[in-house]
Amino acid sequence: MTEARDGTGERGRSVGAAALVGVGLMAAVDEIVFHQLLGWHHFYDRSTPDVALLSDGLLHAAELVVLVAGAFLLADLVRRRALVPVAAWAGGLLGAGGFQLVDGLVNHKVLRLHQVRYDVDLLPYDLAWNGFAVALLVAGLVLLLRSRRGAAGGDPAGVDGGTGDGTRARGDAHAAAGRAAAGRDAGGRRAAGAHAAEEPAPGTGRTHAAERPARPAVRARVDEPPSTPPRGRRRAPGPATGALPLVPPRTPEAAEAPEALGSPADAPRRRRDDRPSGRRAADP
Amino acid sequence: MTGVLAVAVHHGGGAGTPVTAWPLAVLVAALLAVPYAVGVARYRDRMPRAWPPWRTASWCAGALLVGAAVSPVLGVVPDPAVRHMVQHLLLGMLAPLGLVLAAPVTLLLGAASPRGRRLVAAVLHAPIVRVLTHPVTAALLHVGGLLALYLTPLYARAASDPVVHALVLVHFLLAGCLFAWAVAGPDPAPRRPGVLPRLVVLVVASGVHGALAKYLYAHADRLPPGGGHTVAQVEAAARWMYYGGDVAEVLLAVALLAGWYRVRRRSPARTAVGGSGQFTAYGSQIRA
Repeated sequence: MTEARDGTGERGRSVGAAALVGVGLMAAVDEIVFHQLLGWHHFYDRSTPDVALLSDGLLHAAELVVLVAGAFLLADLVRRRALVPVAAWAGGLLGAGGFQLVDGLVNHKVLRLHQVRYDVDLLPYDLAWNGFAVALLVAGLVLLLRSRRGAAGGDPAGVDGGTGDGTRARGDAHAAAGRAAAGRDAGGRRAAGAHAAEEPAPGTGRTHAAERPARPAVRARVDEPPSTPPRGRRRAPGPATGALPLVPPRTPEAAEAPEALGSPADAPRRRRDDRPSGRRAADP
Repeated sequence: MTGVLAVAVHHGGGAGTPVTAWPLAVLVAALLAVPYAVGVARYRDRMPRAWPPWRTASWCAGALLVGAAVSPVLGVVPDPAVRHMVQHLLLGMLAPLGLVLAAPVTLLLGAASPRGRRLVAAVLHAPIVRVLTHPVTAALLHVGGLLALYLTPLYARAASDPVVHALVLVHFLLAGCLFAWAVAGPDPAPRRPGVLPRLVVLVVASGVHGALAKYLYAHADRLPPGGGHTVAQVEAAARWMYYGGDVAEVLLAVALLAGWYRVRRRSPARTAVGGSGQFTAYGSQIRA
């Protein structure tokens, strides 16, 4: 039961962190593409009232911080092997679409801060802008529902030791990921596969040792994505358990080299891969 | 330092010229770098570990930026309004980041004698210092100084009076350092607010900064009062202020969250939850 609750938490955190990144990225795209490259919007539109400048400034400042914070939260989830890729894609799409829609409706239409483009018939531009936003939102919602249903089927299956429903639901979620995020699904699936391979069998800590041999397979899989699907299908339990095996080795590593600041993303992973193999040699 | 700056201005230029001179730049950079170098040497004597080199590099970068901001290098920017804004960005935003990431208080604590450490700790805990180094106070001083400069006749005053100009520059630097230290500093600070409140302060301060930049742009014909710049000059300066502020905000957010990320890896409490006793024991053994 605890695991089920943890699973919801990890999924929620994945959605939340990725949503922050989605909002920030969409804001950055808006800023860079439309303001800087195309020059459709203006740095400052003479019609903007002075009061709106403050809300505009606060919003812009928040977007930047949200992007940075989301990136760090995602990095932390990845480091803890607690990222749920489908949920993260869902969150990212929801965040991006939500921002786009708010920008299109509230900023452009209600507050009239600025328009998509000037001196043209606005309707097609507004339709494209908001239609794209809705498409992103729908894709995100579909993914979110799939990840929820997958988890709802997956957790009881994991507890019972069975794998039937959970596996099918998760497979569907992967298919949805593939459909919705066309070009990116390879990355997502690969991440999902890697995550699946990290899952220990549901149960006690004793299974950690048994789980360990799966780790080299992860590295192989990252190099060769095509070998993913057969592995991924074996995954039944909810994502919560995926966080367990790799977390504890972090402590010794932190005590060992607390000053590894140069590349926080690379350094721990390298050591994390080294450490279990050393301990495995020592265990028997 | 104000005196030095003022003398240099009297020496080097008339009214309206920025405070720049090579001897001044070298002097300021040296005044910053030498005490830090002494601290690093003493830290190595007193502590079991050497001081991290990248922190020293960070301090040197900060000192160089401060030096550059008051050196004739700024002359490469032809527009006087933009030149002033670049000086403001260097002194108030980029240089403080380098200086603050160098963790000067940590170095001071490590390099000082036991008595000196107690003194530093007492200063840090003094009520006035606690209020002053609170992120909200620091943000008010930092952004409030800019509001006062660009929306009141202070700008015109600084352009004509070298002492006021020097004071303004010193305020840029000190308030910038205070703000960066309070929001993203790696140094220990008693009762420092959590990550989220500090992020909120950062967003509000940056938002007001950005709004001020656009306000200057919108009213370039009459702001800053008595500035004596053309509309085009003020507009260009306002753009620099806006995008420079963005850069500074992102850098500060990265510095703050990188600190969070680092500490989160080290903290054992949360990670042990649900783990097997085997791993927990292993972890504590290593830590001991």
